[in-house]
Order: sequence, then structure tokens, then C-alpha cells
Amino acid sequence: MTHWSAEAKKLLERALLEAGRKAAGEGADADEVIGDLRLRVEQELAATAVEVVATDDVASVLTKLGVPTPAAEEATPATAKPAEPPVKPAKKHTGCLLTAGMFLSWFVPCVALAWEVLAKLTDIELSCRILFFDPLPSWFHALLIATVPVVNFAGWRQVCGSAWPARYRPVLRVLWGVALAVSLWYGIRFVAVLPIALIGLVAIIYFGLGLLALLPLAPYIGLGGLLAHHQRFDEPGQGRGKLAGFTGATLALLAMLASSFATAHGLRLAASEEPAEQVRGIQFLRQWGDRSLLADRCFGASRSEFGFGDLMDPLRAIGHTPDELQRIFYRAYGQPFYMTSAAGKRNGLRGERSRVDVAFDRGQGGDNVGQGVSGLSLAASRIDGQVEPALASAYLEWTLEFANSASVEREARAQIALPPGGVVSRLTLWVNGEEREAAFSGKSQVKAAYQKVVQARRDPVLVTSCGEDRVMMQCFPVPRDGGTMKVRLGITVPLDLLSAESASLRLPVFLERNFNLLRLAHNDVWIEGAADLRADGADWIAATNKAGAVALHGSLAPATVLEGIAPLRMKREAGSSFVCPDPIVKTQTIVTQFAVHTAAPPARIVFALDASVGMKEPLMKALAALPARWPGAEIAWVAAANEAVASSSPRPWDDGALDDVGRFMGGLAFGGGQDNAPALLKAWDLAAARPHSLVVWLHGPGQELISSADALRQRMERSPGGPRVHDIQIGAGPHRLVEQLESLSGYRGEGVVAEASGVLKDWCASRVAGLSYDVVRTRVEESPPGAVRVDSPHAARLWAWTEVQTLLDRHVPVETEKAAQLAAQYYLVTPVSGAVVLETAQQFAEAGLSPMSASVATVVVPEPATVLMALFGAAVLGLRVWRRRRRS
Amino acid sequence: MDADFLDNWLVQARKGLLELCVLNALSRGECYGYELCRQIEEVPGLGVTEGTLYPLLSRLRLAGLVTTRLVESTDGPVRKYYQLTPAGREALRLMNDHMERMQQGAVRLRRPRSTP
Repeated sequence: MTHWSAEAKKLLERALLEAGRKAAGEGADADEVIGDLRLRVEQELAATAVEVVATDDVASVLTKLGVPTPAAEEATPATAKPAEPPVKPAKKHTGCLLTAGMFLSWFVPCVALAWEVLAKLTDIELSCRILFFDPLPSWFHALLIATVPVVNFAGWRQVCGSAWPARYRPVLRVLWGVALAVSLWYGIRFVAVLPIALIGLVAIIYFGLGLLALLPLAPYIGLGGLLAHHQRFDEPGQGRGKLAGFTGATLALLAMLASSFATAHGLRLAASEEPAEQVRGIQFLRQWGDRSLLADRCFGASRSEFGFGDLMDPLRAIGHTPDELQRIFYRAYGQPFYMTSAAGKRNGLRGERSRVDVAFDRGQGGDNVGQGVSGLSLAASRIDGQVEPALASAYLEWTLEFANSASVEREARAQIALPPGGVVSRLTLWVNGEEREAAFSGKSQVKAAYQKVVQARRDPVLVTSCGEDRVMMQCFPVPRDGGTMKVRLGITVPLDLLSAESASLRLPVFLERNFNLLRLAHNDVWIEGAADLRADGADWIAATNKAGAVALHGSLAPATVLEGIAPLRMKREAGSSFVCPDPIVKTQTIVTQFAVHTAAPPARIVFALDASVGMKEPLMKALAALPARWPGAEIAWVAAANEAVASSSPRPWDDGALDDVGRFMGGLAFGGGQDNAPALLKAWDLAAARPHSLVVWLHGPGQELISSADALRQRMERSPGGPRVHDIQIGAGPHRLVEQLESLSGYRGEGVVAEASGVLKDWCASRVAGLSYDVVRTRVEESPPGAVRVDSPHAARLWAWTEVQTLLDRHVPVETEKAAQLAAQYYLVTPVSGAVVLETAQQFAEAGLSPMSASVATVVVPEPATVLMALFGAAVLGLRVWRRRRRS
Repeated sequence: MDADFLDNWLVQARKGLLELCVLNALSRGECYGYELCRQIEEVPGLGVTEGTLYPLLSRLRLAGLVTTRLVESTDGPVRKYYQLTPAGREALRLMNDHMERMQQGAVRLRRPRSTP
């Protein structure tokens, strides 16, 4: 180590003082010059490696450097002002405490950030996100927060003596500014949580608990580290980089908070009592709101388990219930809140992985399907069907197997769209490998029986009606830890008559479900019974069953349980009358009669269009399938668009009519979830203004009920002869408005389709031709002479279903009661009846129910006798037709 | 010739040129003080000591024409590097232009006057 003599020190100080004065006189910075010269003197002396520095050594170096050596003076010279070097050089070790503190200043924020990122990706419950508030609403926030451990890591390295490469200093200065802004920002947000965190810190130290309490302390620890080394990357006048970083980060954080303020503002407007303000709020949210922020609120989970929220969160004061928020979300964005994909495909399984499932099933035992629950899957799907073209009927059995990988029991719930006109006529549950049949009774009775058994955690399954051609199925419990549960629905369906000689059949699909389809490999379908059965697509294989009947079967893609398939088509013999024994009331016979009428074309067809998000393309495709002209008819269109109703005046359906439709569509603003009720009402009124008119309603799914269907129901109930509403839903999904239009004779569902052009084309073709094909089923005591006898249980059920609908349409309590009794008698799920399978005979008895007997249960495979009878009937019919032609 | 006259003139000339030479040297890349001093010494007649150079560099820094940065060195004390700022580059360009024009003008004055 080098020692200095006192005289040498004095000499150096005098020389430097003098040089500093001279430099100041020339306009230079005296301190800087003194510092530079001092450094050079020290370097030169160090190079000489002297052990004791004397005045001669100092003089020699000063001369070498060109610094005048002051003359020796007796008087004590004025002490040279101790010059500070321009920048403090880094010291290798400034103490263990500082080193440890600097280590924590990057380590703790790093761990906190990593934990919160992991919690966000894997939905860990023990995280700041769940306990307090979400510190990472976006990945940009994570990037900003990451600057804190990065900058403090550089500072820690500096403290430990590792020089930071000089080329990174400008970047580090900017990052320092960013990190400071971020630390202050989160420090303010966590202020309310600080007491809890400090208590937790004591708990960590004393009880050795987890590190969770350190998460809220992370911004303060990071801030300490930043302040401890804020000079280490800096030089005089180099604070601009830090200021730029600080300003930029603050502005960015404020800008991101702006979206929260915008969302809060939009929510306040959307939740207003004033309809005009609601519309403004919805449109504001659609334009400026933060969709993911609103979706987060819709889940209904408390944002702070301890009641401490984010002080800077403007949505903190939003007191709306999750149901209200979900409705507002749907109106603004036209999608369920639990779909994370903003684009949102309506069909197929493309959105399956973007669906957020929850761990806790809030809807268990309730009346709604609700949100998806984690761990519950549809493992297998099988449809067995038998068609009877002669009787224009079919029977399908849909067997579903659910699997549950969660650690708790689950209830599987789904809303199913039946083929148009279909009715559930059988329900079976497998209990310990044995099939148990359902009891059919009044809706409230079966529901009560189901809920009671669910609470006892036994095995029931329930099917009830929830709209035109829609049923809700609930089964519980699907056992946990890989357990499975299997149910079967039997559906009796009237075939759709395309002409006297052809018919079509659609398959049931899921509209809404709380289970995923990720485990479903395929949808196995087997349809038999028609000589000429055709299906689109290459997945079908033709075969014959053991009874010699022709069949089509295929292992279809899993998406077909949502999207359905193009209708199966078949030829039918154009017979006029068939009789079937009634399997329930054995003294009765069901007569099925076919008639072809010439029907006047509708005078006016009003199209009610849904301009919700994603509907533009499907509607354009559907309308392209319309005929270019319809002689004698008028066309009008009404649209639910932009939270309002747009409409056109009726005009003749001639050349140019479809161009007008195209222009009308082009002027619509598609977006959000539109309220179709006012548009449908307007369309009905337009149609009712002219006799023999009808409404075609083209719409997508509608997960929320925005306004009630009461006004429309009133019109349709009070005008039984009024315009009919034909409903075509494009895309799988529930529609809450459709669920309210049950039991109306003037309403007819044409099905849920992936694409409407085919359905619309068929629908128009028959009506343009002016023909209508009627099937009338009546129950008589004696068969009429000459009628062909067919042994089929389905005709009776279809007769009963029609009777129930007729009774309900009268809207008289006595008739409604009769309808319920008839439905229960014929084992049908209707608006006034349901089906429930209970585990034991005792449970049935306690509920006052009796299950369907196996002898009356409908089955898919026909008896050989039935086939022979059908062939015989066809032969007799053929003979009669031949004789009639001979006579003419 | 008076030797004092030449000496005085050289001193004045060095004073005028020193700043230009320092800026030109820095335009080739950043340097620390000692290194800069060595480069300036290569200019004939322009010997300069560090005692003269550091005040000049300080003036240039205060004028915003150069910036400095400290670099830690594993084999000695920290070094202060100097480099030109954009303003420094612009000033250097102007100074070099002026210098060139003055030199050309001075050379022209040596030629005989043209007769009208």
C-alpha cells in the first residue's frame, strides 16, 4: 500500500487548487479538471510503485503532466478544496447488508412475478390474483414488472464487484426509469394490502409459512433496490434516460388504466334504468371497453378474499351482480363471457379449447345449464335410429356416456335441440350396469323428485322441456376420479315431408352443455329402415341389418353433436292411410292419413334478421338461396341491429327484390348480441297487416334474454289464425327468446342448422310450388276399412304429442291438465311433463311416480313381424294403385 | 527575425488549433485523456500536456460538444472516455470548413496580384 508524506499531499493539493483556479478562469469546470488531474497523478504514481510518495515524486509527475508546481511556501496554503471525482467509482463491497438487500430487491420481485404468471396460466388459487387483485391483466404488464428484477439484478452485480458492460448503461438508465414508475405504481395499488402482508411476513419468519405474503411486498422491496443504486449507472447530466423511462412507463400504465375507466363508464351507462343510456353504454363498451376485464367480473368470483381490492381499480365500485354483468357482456360482444376467443366461431369445436371452465359448479341441481365445469366430458355418443317412411315417422335413441376426471362429483347438464316436431318418449339410465327406465309425469313433480335425490347424492337423470323442440337433460352424479355415467334418450320424430314421395330426417344436437367434448372420438350413428336412405358426406357406409333392412351408418366427427348433419333423405311410398295399434290404450287404433293440398302461396313473407356478431356471412348465404321472384307474394325485412330495429316497407317479390335485401343488409351494423324480440314483434305486425302472411326468423344463438317475449306471445295467443313464425337458428347454442315461445300454435321451429341455405331452399320450394303435405293422426276405436295395418308404437306417440300441443294451445287450465295427463300416459316429455329416472323403486314410490314398463318402451330394432306387415301393406297399396290406373 | 515574434505566433497558432485538433481526434472514435494527448502530440508543433488538455476538454464538455463516460478497468483505476456529441460533430464540421476556407484564402494571398 502506498503512503503519502504530509508535504507531498500539501504540494499536490496546492498544485491542483492552482490548476483549478486557472481552469475556472478559462471557463472550464474547476472540480472536473482537479478530479481528472488527481486521477492522472495517482495513476502515474501507482505506475512507479513507490511505497512512500514524497514531494519530489509529486513534483516530477506534475511536471510530466504539464501542471505548474507551486513554489514551496512557509505559510500554510489554503486547503485545496477536496475535489470530488465526477463519478464515484464503484466499490467492490459496500457491506453485507447492502449486498443482501440488493439480492432481495431482484429475487423477491422475480419470484413474485414468476408465481403470478404461473397462477394465471394454471389457475392456482393461492395467488395475488385470487386473494387481492390481478396484477397482470395483460402480458404487457408482466413485461413492465419484469424491468424491476432486471434493473435490480444489474445493480446487485455492480455491488458485488462485477462491472456492468458500459454499452448497456443507456438501456439500463431507461429501464431504471421504467422500473421506478412500475414500483411506485404497484406500491400505491398494494397500500391497502400492506398490513396483511406485513403480518404475513411475521408469520413467515415465525411460523415458516409460505412466501405468499412477500408478493404484495415485492414492489416495495424492488423500489428500495432501485433507490439504493440509482447513481450506479449515471453520470452528471445523464438523467434524461431515466426520466424518459419513468415518463414512458407512467404514461403506458395510465393508458392501460384508461381502458378500465372506459369499461367502468360503459358499465354504468349500460346498467342504467334509462333504455337510451343502456344502448349508449352497450355501444360504448363494444367500442372502448376492455372485454377481458368485463369477462373477469362476469365470473362472479370475489376479487379479494380479504376484502382488500385494488385501490386504482375503477371497477372496484361496480356493484352489479354477475348475472347483470353477463347480460351486459352478451349485449356488448354477442358471446358468452366464458369464451376467451374474441373472434368466436359459432360452430364446431374450434372454440372448445378457448372455453373457460370453472371448478365450482354453481348451477348444480338448478334449472339452467350454466357454465362449463372442469373435468366433465362427453366420452361417447351413439345414435341408433329407425325410420318408417310410410308412416312419416322415425325413432332415434341417443346414448350418451359422461366421464368425470375431477376430484368431486359432477352433474352433467345439456340443452338438446330435437329434430323439428320431435318429442322425447323414452329415458334410460344405467345403474350398476342395469338399465332403469324413467317415470313420466307432471313437470314440477319430476323436478321435485330429481332435486330431492340430487341432494341425497343418489343417481337420477331428468329430462324436461325448455322451448320449442328443446329439452334439458340433467344427470347426477357423474362419479369423480374417472367415473362414468350412461344415459339414453328415445326421441320420436315426424319425418319432414319434402314431397309426397320423399322425406327427410335431422338428428338431435347439443345447444348448450356444461361438459367438454375433448374426449369424444366420434359420434356413431346407425339409421335403418328405408329402402332408399341417402346422406351427404363420405363418412357413411351402407349396410343391411340382421332383419334384412337397409341401413346407413358412420362414425361421424365429434362436431356433429353440435353442428348436426345435412338431413338424411329417403323415398317413401305415396300411400294415403295406415293404421297402427295403440300400445298404451290397447282398445284404440291410430289412423295416419296423408293428404296433399294445393295451398295458396303466402301473401307476404317478412324476414326477421338477427344482426348479432358473426351473423352477416351466414345471413348473406341464406338469403342467396331465396328464389329470385315469388309471383303473387310480397317481401319485407326487419332487422335487430345496433340495439334498434331497422325495417323496410313491403314490396312485391319480383326482380330486384333480392337486390333490395342485399342493400338493406349492407347498411346494417352487425355486432354484439342483439335483442331480437322487438324486431320479431315488428315483423309479426307487418305480416299480420295482410292475411295469409308469415314470418321467417333467421337468427343465431342468444345466450341472454334481453327483453321478454310476452308481447309476442300475447299477439300469437290472441290471434290463432295470425301469421306463423318459422324459426331457423343458424349455429349451435341456446336461445333464451326461443325458450319463451313454447306451446304456441303459430310458432314452428325449422331446426338448428350450421347453414341455413339448404333449409331455406327446401322451405321455399314447397311453398312456391303451392303444395302442402299434411299428415293427420287420429285415434279411433275401429280401423277404417281398407286401411293398411302397420305395427308401430311411434304413431301413437306422435298422435299424443299433437293432441297435447292442441290442448295446450287453448290456454285453458282444464285443457292443460288433460294435456299433462295425456303426456304422462304416453310417456312424453312436453311443456307440462317431464321424465325422471330414480335409482330405486322406493325413491319412485316416495315421489309418487312409476317408471315406464319395459313392455311399452319403444325400441329401435323392429320385430320381424313388423317388417313383414309393412311389406304386406306396401304390396296391398301397390295393387290398389295399379287397379285404379287400369280403370282410368 | 525576432525569435520571440515566431514563438508568440506559434503559441497563438497552437491555441487556435488545439481545440480543432482535439475535436478531429475525437471524431475518429472515443478516447481517454492520456490517449488523446498522445494523438495530439503527433501533430507537428502541437505538443500539449495533460495539464493543458483537461481544462480544454472540460470546456468542450460544458459547451455540449463532447460527453464523457467512466469505464471500470480491471487492471487499474477507472478511465474517463471522451466522445463527440452531435452538436460537437456539427461544430467540428463548421470549424473544418472555416479552416479550409481560411487556408485557401491564405494560400491565394501568396500569389502575385493579377493586373487589371
